[in-house]
Amino acid sequence: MEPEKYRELFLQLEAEVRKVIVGHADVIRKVLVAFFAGGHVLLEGVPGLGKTLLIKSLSRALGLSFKRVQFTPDLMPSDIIGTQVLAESDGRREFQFKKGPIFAQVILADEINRATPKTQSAVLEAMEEKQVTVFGESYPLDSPFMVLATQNPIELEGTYPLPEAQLDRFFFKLLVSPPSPRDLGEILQRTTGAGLREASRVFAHDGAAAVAQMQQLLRQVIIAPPLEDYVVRLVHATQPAAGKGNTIAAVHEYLRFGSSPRGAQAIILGAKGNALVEGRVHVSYEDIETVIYPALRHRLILNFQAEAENINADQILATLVKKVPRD
Amino acid sequence: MPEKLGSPERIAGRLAGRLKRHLWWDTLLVLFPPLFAVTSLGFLPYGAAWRPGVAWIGVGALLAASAFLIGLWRARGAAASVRQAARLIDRKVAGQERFVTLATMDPSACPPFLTARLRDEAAGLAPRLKLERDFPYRIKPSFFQSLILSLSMILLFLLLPQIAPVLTSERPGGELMRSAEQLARIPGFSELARKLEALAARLQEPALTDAARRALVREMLAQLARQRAAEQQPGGAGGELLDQAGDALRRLAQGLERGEERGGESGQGEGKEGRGEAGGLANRELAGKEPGPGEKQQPEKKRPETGPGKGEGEGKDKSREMKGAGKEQGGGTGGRNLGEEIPTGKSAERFLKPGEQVEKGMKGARFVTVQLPEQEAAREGGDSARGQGRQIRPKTAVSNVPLRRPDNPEAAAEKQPLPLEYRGLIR
Repeated sequence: MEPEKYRELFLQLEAEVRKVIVGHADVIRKVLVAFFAGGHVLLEGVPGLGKTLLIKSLSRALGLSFKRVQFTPDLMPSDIIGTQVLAESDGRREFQFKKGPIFAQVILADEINRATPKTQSAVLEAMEEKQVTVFGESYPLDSPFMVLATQNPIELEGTYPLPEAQLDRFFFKLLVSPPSPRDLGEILQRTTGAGLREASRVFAHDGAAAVAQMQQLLRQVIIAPPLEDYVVRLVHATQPAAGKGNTIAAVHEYLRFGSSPRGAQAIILGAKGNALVEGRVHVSYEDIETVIYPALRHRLILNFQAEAENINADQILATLVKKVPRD
Repeated sequence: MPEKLGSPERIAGRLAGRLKRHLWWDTLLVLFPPLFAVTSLGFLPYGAAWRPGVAWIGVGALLAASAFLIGLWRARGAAASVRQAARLIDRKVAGQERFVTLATMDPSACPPFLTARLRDEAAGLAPRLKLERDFPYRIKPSFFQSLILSLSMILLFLLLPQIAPVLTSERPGGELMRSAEQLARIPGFSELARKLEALAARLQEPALTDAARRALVREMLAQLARQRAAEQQPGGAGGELLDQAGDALRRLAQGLERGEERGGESGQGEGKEGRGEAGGLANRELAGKEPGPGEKQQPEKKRPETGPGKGEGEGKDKSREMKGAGKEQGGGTGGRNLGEEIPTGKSAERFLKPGEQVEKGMKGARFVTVQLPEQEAAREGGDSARGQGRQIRPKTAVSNVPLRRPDNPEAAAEKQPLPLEYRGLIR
């Protein structure tokens, strides 16, 4: 696929989603970048901001299969993955595997932090390996496969915060902010009127194949060795245990753990995706600095002092971008 | 006509070469002024006199070799690489890392169609760039710093022979002060030491004219000569110190004579006759002779006439100096501040010897000077000379009333410490 074609399809998809979703342009773009980079996205925001609608619109525009799972404390892993059921055919009774909702191309794991850790971890293998194993038998998932999870940051009672290992499997963590007054007016006009808008399919047929081509092109985008070194320095700088090699005070002061190598992978793939959307076939420093926040903010584990002083990961990342030299 | 720069990779390579040449120029410019300075100093007459020509050639060669090595080291260590040059181009043409990517990427690891597209994009930006215009050679501040330092070095070298004597010369009276301090440690010379200190202090007054200085020195020389004559044991410690003080005074007089001669060559209104007379007086005293009866007690009023012929404008200054000299003769403390504390009325014309009767007696006297015990007087004189200007009261009681015997019931209860120099007398 040519870079121009990629950009055209991407912008079409973006436009279709924006027909339904008002505002959140940055969130929509980054969700699409993560999708074509083959990653999963965690959306964090209060209820009613259009997270679910965004994901539904995206799957409709892509023309891919979509399933939604509402995570609750009594949700069991088999409710997501599927289970063996006793079935009778031709007079014989046998166990048959009944696929769960995970067997779709776009999964919406709504309020993922309400489910128990056991259920949350059931999604782990699916997210990383793109397959599930039931009673010793592995079942591959459809391609492309993407999990879009949402969580509510204000409710803590009755929730199970995602463990770091599971957080690390999300490509991006995006913060969905409340709409501006202007956007809110637009939302009211669209949703309280007679006709409701819906996203149209961008891919006429075999959307999965087109998506695969786009994902392949994204990985071919050129990145210069100095820029790769810059990403390495950035990720290394998040490690408080780096000792003398790390001279950034904020890291020592507020971080318990830094980013894993998955963070660096996410930055580079995200930067490549961003470069293609910007009409380039190579990564620039601007691409890296655009994607470093969603790629690393959930991978930095803050310590008690940071929480006491109301310091968040984005502030530390801003310091890193400022302090780590490009050359 | 736009400059043909070639492919983006070639542009980066050309810029790297250009920046390397800039670095060479920087190095040369920084090192040229010191080299020039050293060479120039080598050819200066007294510079060459200090060191033989071969040594200068050796130093020059060593410096040139050092300069070459420094240049080489800088060129290797600080020269811009192709990658850095590409980064500079990106900044200049807003290339968004296109040139850096092309300069550093491995073409075999990238899809050819993407590489070709990237190269086309970079080539499209190349016309914005003109190496001579965008990366001109500018003289760095380090050159100007080097130039200023080198010129300062040359100037210092040229001025050093002239300013060295000024820097090393001692303040007038410094040697005299040291002699006075040494004399003060010996019993019997404290009075003379005090006078020497007072003289040294007065000589440092900037308002004092050379003529007045010479007059003061001449008087002190005469006093020293009398004291030396009165010294019973020639060659003793006191005698040596007197000789030292005399030498110091003579050197001081010679210095004043030289200054007088220099001033006389260029100044106006200095009479040859006067200078000759003063010179004659100084020479007699420098020879260690007693002044003649007529010169011994020269009336102070007439001294300005016998001094070097100064202009009339200096009359007031001279009369003031003569007053100071009068105090010296009258046995005053001689310190400047002490002099200010004493009433400035007319002093006694002369001091009476014990038992001497004159017609007028002390009628004309307006004040008397109280002589304090030696140590206290010396301290007071010294402090005044240093200009502290505060009243110093003796810590011990001063009285001529004899103490009662220890077995007398009215004897004083307190015990006074006996000065060390008197212990030999009471035995």
